[in-house]
Amino acid sequence: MARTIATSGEAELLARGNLTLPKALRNAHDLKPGTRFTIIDLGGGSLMLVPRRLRVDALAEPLLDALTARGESLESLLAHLDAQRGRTSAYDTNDA
Amino acid sequence: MTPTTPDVFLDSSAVFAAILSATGGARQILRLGEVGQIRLMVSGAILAEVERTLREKLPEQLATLALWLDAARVAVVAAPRKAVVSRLQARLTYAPDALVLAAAVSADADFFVTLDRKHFLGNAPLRAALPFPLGTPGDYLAWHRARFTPAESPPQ
Repeated sequence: MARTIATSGEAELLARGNLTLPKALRNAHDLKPGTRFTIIDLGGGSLMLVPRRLRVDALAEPLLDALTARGESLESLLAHLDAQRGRTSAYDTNDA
Repeated sequence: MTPTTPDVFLDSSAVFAAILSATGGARQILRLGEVGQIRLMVSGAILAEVERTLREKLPEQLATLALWLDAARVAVVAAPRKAVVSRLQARLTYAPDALVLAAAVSADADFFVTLDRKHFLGNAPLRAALPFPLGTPGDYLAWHRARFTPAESPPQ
């Protein structure tokens, strides 16, 4: 059974990874059962919860799948980008 | 005082790292851009590099790339001033990199995110001379945490 946490800024991780958010927080943000969250991992133990699936994740999926299917990796793309940079030119400046 | 929204400049390496890893630091940065915690920016030269690369590898996904950059609210900054490019060229062994860095300088970026060790991350004199920190996605997240999250407890 979930225990009540008095402070609205706190939540407790329970068995099987369930996280109970305080009722005041759920009400304030209209969070219903079944709400999907995106977790932004800021590192250093800091996490940001966003109560929706982000478009950057949904749109990255087909790009990642297609690049992976072609056998591309970050290393192969970085090598390709290194060669691409030589194609930038001096007209890409602004004297205004 | 509340810190202002940071302007974070992405190198093309960071853009592809964000696509290729859903759990890496670069993807977290793109997520922060979508939720409005930071302002993401690239230069026209970076955008051209990314587009050219994808056009060669996956031409059918160019529209998805455009939507993805739009979702993360990535802005394209104005071309850099020639004087800034010239100043930076003196500190770089690879001249085209000056155009990229100069765009970030001209746009008053707060942080430059890259995975390029050969030209940027490994160039300590260059990093010391820039008006903003230059680092990996992980370096940016540490910089971000230091400004926007409560002080971290020392390791136990």
